[in-house]
Amino acid sequence: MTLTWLRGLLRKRASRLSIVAAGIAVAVALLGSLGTFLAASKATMTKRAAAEVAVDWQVQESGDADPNAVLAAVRSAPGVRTAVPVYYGRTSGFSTTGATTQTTGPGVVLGIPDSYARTFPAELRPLAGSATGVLIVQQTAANLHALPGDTVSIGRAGLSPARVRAGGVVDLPQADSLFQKVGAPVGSQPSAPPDNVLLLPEATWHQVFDPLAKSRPDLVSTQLHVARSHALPPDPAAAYNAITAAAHNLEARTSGQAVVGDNLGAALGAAREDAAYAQVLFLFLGLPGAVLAVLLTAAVTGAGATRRRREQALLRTRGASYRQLMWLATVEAALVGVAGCLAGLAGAALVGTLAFGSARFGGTTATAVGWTTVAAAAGLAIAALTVIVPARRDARTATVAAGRLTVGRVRAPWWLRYGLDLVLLAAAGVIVVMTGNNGYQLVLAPEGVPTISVSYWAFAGPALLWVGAGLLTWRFCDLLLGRGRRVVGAVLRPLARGLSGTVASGMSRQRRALGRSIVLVALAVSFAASTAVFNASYRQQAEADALLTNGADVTVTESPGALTGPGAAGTLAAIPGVNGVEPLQHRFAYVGSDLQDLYGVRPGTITKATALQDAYFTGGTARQLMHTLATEPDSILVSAETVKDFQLSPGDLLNLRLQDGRTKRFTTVPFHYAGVVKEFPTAPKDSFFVANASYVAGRTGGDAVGAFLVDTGGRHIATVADRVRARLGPAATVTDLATTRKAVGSSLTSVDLAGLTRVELAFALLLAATAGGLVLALGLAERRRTFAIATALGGTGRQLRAFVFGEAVVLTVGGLIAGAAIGALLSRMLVTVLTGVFDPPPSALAVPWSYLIVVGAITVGALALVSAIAVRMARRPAISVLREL
Amino acid sequence: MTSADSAMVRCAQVARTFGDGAAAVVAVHEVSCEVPPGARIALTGPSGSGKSTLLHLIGGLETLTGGTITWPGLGGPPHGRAGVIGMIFQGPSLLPTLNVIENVALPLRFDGVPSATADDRAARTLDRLGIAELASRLPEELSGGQSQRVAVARAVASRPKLILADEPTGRLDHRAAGHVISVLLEAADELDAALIVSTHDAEIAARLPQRWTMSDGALSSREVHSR
Repeated sequence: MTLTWLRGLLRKRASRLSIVAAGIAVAVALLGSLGTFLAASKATMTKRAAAEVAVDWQVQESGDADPNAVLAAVRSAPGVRTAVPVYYGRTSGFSTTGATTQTTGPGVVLGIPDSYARTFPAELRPLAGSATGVLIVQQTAANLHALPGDTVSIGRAGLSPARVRAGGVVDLPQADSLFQKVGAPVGSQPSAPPDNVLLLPEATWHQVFDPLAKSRPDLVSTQLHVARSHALPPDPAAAYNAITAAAHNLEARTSGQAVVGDNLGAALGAAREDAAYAQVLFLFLGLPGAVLAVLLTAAVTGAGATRRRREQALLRTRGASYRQLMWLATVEAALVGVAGCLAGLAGAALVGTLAFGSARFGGTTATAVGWTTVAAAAGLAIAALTVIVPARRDARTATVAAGRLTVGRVRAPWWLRYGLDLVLLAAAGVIVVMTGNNGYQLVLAPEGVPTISVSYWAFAGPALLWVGAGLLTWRFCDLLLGRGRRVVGAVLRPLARGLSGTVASGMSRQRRALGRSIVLVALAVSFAASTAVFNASYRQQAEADALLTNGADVTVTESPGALTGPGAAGTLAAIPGVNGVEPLQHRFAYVGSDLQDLYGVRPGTITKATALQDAYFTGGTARQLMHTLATEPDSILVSAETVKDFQLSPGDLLNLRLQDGRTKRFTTVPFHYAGVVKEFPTAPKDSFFVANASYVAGRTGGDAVGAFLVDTGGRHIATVADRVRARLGPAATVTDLATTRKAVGSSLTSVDLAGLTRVELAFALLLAATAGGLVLALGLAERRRTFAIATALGGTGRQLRAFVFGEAVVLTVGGLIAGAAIGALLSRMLVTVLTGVFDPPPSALAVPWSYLIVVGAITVGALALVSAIAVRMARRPAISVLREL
Repeated sequence: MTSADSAMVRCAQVARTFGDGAAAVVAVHEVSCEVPPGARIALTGPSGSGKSTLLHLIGGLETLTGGTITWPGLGGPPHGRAGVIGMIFQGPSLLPTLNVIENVALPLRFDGVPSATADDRAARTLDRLGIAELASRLPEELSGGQSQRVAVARAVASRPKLILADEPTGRLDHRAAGHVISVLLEAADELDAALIVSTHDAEIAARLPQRWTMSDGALSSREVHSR
């Protein structure tokens, strides 16, 4: 019997079974793709984090340690590839003597072995001259006006200066970690690396500092710089735990004589937070897609429920037992499940190959196999859920007579009677408010703590909103198609003419099925819309972050102490490719005993070179507050912390002490508090001020500019930056947006979210197109008999079109309107709940209209195509159709 | 005007073959006949003899593979002209998403009758057939006999000149079948319409004065009985 049934299914129900298998395939492909991608992405996060670290460990010897013993212990520690000593000596200052004598304040002189640049290539970046020998760091070279070949004097406390000849100029890209206070907690680390740094060959350093070590041993110290093997566990959290444990093990084995500055651990710590966020994003953005695929499959099988019930009823009247019915349903589920899984896994491999050039999404075979298994198991579960469960329910509860029913009186479902939709929406709101109470902090990865806390609870807010809004849509459909069917009839009158009432009545009787289809289209559209808006907003804010950090397309930062006035902007403006130049003052100001950065802007023109978002300010929009600075020059924008600390109210007098350009003494300058600034181009994350540049210049007797913001119109940024560098030489630091974009982006920003959303958006488009088209097609296919009878009764092609297109119009309009509304709500909630992912938080959502228009057009196109095919098929001789059914 | 000119339908060497080559099935083979106005014809024959196919060909619902059919008494081919022929199908044929009155009014709506008028005529037809109480029910809430009576109501509501009933009592018990055929005959009489009923039930056939018998796709005999 099984084979007969199977043959019958394949012969008579091949199309329907293929569609069910396709629904399962989409879910399997989505889960397989996203899961494998997530695992692969975590592995690449670990690799990238490790690769970006210049020196894996900096081991600080304690004062009484035996250097050789510590070195031997470090070199013999598991996983250590190389360990070399690096010497730190403190100088009272550097000086050069040329046409004028240039001197600097205190600095640091490093002694490095010859092999250092080869062993730790990311630590030094040669800029000019030789890459070996005595090397001056760029900032120091600018301060000393020194070039390769110049002689530099190194001040030594209590000793005569030592003279060395500079071989080259270098940059120290990871100066923060290089000059860290090893073993000190985060809060007591130096706020910035030293301004003046010189690097000497190991032997030269000993010649210069060994005498100092004898008289002032407190001014010299030794570190061991360690390169470790980067064969790490693929998961960043596991890699972090492994490296941290290894560092602790080394400290224990040296009995505290060595303290490990774990740069690799710190990088992996950040990566594990990114990985946790990637996992959260997978849950927020990926899971709804899989749920949607399941709903789609359930809708497909549900569209054939009437037929299945009829078949079951027939089998029962012919003596089939409950067990036999279940066995046949299991055979059907196995057939579609296996076919769907195979197609889905092939689809996932294809997606991986097309999007990432690898069927394993760049991951290991083990992760690919793991997620393949999970996705396949999910596919089989979906088949069981959508085929066996309804069959079981029907077999247990439905009578043979009920099996003949095709429409039934429409009774409100239980959830609608109990208002479950409204309850879910209210619960979503409560959860979002509760999540907001802890600042939407979804991931907590405290430094030094091996466990990561991820608040999956927050996921419930958007999930409940999605489900609740879907059910509410169903309620509206039920109301409109039921009690409001006269309205529907009136709306359809241009299309259906005299049949509009009949068409509306027909739709009213099948409003449950139609409502389900509308909800499915709405959920698919909302999924596509919310994913796209989230993605676009994320990209917008990543760009804003890069712009905040760099300041503009190209930024020229003057050396400390330089007295370049705003007039130099003209020189920069003359460089080809430069659209405009905006000078930005940078000063330091005391408020009470607190020293903060102060930025002097030209409020009328600042936005010509950089973007100011409303989200950067409180107390007014960006435009309003810049207008205030322009019209009331003594007004000032301060940080929220300063407002709180000094209990400020708008208009309050705020006396700051700034250095006078003429006397070099600090003088009191009165300002009036006008608003709060949270972010500003080039400004630090902590407290700072923004004021009117002309006012500051007038009250301090100096118009020296800290930086020039150069606008290139977003074009040829790197080329323009190179031109600016060539024009200015080493006198100023030139940074560009393209480079900064790469530097500020976390691994989550730069690669992984882009990949995740690329897969997401493609699936969302597919689901939106198929949701409507497939459900409408199946619904119309189920009513082929109805259309054939209508034709036999004398219905013309135009009259049949009224039935088909009437339903398609209601489905399209209802689905798109509800989808757009739910999508808008969901986008806002997603961006709110996932605030932690954004830096800075967006003031407005970015809406990718082109993608959304494509989604809408494809949905409408799919529904129109299905309708046209249905009408064309209805033109066949009615009796031929009836005979086949 | 000749007798042929007054025929409702005229079939000349009509044939219908399903499939091709060796798998071809000849359902109707070179049938020639005329249906006069007011005719009461029982189309009989064993299952598979071609009764339904001939009926569908007469109703313009099936395409010919040979011969010609003309509908001089109906003003041309009936296909796409609602209400010209009243058709009653063998199986369930009521539209499941419409209630009884909407089903009965549907051919009228197709014919362009305003909705209020169509509903009124449908209601009167139901009343005349004694099933007015079923008006608001859905098809699946009806018994087999009730469904066929509603199908009869739908067939006659548009006052057709020709009623074709394909095994209208095939799924009904004896009593219900008798009732349906009575309703059908009364309606045909009232409308003065020609009526062809295909059936393999001798008792049903006996209630119609003319009997055409089909065998292997051919019209093997035509008899006239007194009612």
